[in-house]
Amino acid sequence: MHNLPFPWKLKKINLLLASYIFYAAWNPPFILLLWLSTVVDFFVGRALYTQENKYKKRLLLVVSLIGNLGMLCFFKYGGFLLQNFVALVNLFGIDFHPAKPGIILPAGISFYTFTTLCYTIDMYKRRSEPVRSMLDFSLFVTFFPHLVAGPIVRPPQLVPQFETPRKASQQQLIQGLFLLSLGLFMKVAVADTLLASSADVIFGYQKSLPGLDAWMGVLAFSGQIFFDFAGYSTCAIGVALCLGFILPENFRYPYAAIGFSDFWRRWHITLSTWLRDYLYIPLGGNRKGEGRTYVNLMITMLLGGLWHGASWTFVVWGALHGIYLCAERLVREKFTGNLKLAGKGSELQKASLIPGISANNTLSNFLLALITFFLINVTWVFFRASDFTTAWRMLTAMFGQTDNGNAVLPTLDIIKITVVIILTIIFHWFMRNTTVLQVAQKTKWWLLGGIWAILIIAIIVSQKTGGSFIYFQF
Amino acid sequence: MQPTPLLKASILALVSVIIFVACWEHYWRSRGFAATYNDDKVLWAAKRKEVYKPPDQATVFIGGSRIKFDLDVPTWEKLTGEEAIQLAIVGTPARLTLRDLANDEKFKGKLIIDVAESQFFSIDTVRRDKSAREAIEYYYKETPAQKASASIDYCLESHLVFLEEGKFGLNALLNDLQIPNRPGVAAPLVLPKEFGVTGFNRQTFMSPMFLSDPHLQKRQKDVMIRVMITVMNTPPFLKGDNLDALLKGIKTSIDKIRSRGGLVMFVRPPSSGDLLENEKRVFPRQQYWDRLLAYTNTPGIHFSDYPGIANFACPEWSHLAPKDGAIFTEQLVKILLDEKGWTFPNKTKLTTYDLNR
Repeated sequence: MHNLPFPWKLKKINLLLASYIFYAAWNPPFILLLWLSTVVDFFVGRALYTQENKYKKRLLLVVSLIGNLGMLCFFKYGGFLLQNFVALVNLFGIDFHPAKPGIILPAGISFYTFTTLCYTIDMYKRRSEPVRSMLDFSLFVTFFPHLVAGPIVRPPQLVPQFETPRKASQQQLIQGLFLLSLGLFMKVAVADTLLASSADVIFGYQKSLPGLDAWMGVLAFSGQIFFDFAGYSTCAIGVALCLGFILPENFRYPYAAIGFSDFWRRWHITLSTWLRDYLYIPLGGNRKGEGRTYVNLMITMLLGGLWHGASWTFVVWGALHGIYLCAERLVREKFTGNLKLAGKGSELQKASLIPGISANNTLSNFLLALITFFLINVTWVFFRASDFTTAWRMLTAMFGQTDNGNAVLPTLDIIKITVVIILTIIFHWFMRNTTVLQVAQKTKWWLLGGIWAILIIAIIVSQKTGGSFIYFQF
Repeated sequence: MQPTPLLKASILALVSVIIFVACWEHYWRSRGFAATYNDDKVLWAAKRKEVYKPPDQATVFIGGSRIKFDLDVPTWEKLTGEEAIQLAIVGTPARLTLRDLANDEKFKGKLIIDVAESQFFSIDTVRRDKSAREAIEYYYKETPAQKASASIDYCLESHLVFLEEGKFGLNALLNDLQIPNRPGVAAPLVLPKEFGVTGFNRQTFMSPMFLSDPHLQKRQKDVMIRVMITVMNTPPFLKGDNLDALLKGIKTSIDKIRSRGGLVMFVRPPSSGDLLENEKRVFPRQQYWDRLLAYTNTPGIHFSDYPGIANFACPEWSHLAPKDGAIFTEQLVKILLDEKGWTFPNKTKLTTYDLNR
């Protein structure tokens, strides 16, 4: 219908209805929350922009924050807060055992809450104009490709695209279909078919494991989480492109990152930039001194961890990333200071973090990328483990602290994981400064066609192994 | 207008995929396979929805693969005038499904529980109950999108052979490589693809290819030997307090169903050969089967007690061939009617089948 000769407004209504049907396909009643969030933020956003009275403006912002974050807290963190409250009062000897709240988490609530939240904050700070039409705002919040698992869009990225008629060009349509095929291949063929079961087996194993199995389980999850989430983002960007809309990039070959700040410029880019712009910078960023910078980094990453899930394991995951970022900053500051002392063009300036290897050396960068990947894998243990007992069991096995573990993974699974991870690292490394569409554009048509066919055939042969996308639960 | 390189690539990809799908389908058909259904949690959930039919219109079957092979659904439906709702899951004891049905206040019907001792009394609840847990969870959480997807799947699966994931999916094909494993690793069982075929009613039966090929039967027996060795070497089965706890849980569930007017019956389907001998040795009847019936105060049908079903030769020791499944089903209905006091009020209306032929 989007390509039929209907008025633009009708096409937008069509897209909006399709988006609501898409969301209702998971759990129809939760569409009410989406409406509530849309209506409240549309009117509050407009009032925030026009309100001159400072106090009333703040009050409106508080209303919006309470509305958005309150909803998120209730549905996502209600059970977690209650559980911790019970543990706390029990610690003081108070016998309190309430019934489990049994709250169902609406799909994608963390994503659309952040989408609407950035709009009201932008309105408060007058960073952009308020959206004039309720239809455009509803479509901005609800546009189905990004609704349930991102990319997290900002108003200036998407709203202007709704203001003028859009139709995919032939090139956009084919590029969109290619990205959709690639995303499905990543999700269905790689994440679900080749990696998911190994990660599930290892993280679900209740006894001690040998180091090989533990590492294979973590590497399997490392691959699974990337191919699952980046696969969804690629599908979302591809589907939007098929309709003539451009969504922001969300992944840029993160397993070729050199260091952790580089990792966060490549992994879930729309979340990390959101956290930077709406949390880290408002906290003061790096403008309030060295010590405060580290505190701000830690707060941002701790809350970033908690955003992913209502569990202390996610907080530890965020904390580890915060520590990595702080440590990296510390090393860089010290290193930069030494460079300044040594003078421009000195031998020391040419040196790298690894003694004996030049800073411009590809090999040294590759080694740094491998070290980064290794340390990222350690954090995934806390992301995937259901509790600290599991995480500890995994870590002790990974670092050789267990005596007799039971071999669990079949050889075939080990081969699958090894091949996928090696190819992933190589692919990420060679693609780290480009995009898949740029490469596709330069590739011979017959080769691209062949690769495209292989992607689709792999999806067909894998069949419906796929479960839900992991990030839907966030 | 000249086609762009991207357009040419997309056309090449499309043509290649169409050619591949046609060849892939043709290949499996030429090897004698026919289109069938994925025996998965989606199909299970579709049947699970049907358990609320009035007791005089349906009987629910739960347990493992034996009742799935041995109960011939058309024979049952023809003889009783009632629907057979097949909820058994391959490799899975009836425990979780029983508890689920017991806790479902709306279920008040007739229930037949398949008891294969090595599954039913297994202590390995995490692995053994996994499929049942996933199926039950899927049933309660199935979204409208998944329901729509299932309808499309059924339509495609009924026409395309290669869409049977368990046999022709990428992981199944890779498993066929049978790469040797490290000592102690429990490798996935690779059954001959020709072994079982599942219909939309969830009945599973041995394919004509399997029944006519002694080599395939030998391969399947080898798998059964592996299973036996694993089972026998993986003690303990439930004993002592653990067994008491299981029996108590089973009794609680059965009592709940009976308190709502439901009927429950245990059935021990036939097995044969070395497998039967091992089962007799590891699970002495008095300690397990007889105790289960006595503790739960529930009637049961043990195949060895009835001459009509006592001497089947299972092609791979564990499951009946289709023709024997029909005989077993016929005899099962007869025993239920003559000895267990079950009635099937619709049978006279719907069938002219002669029970006493």
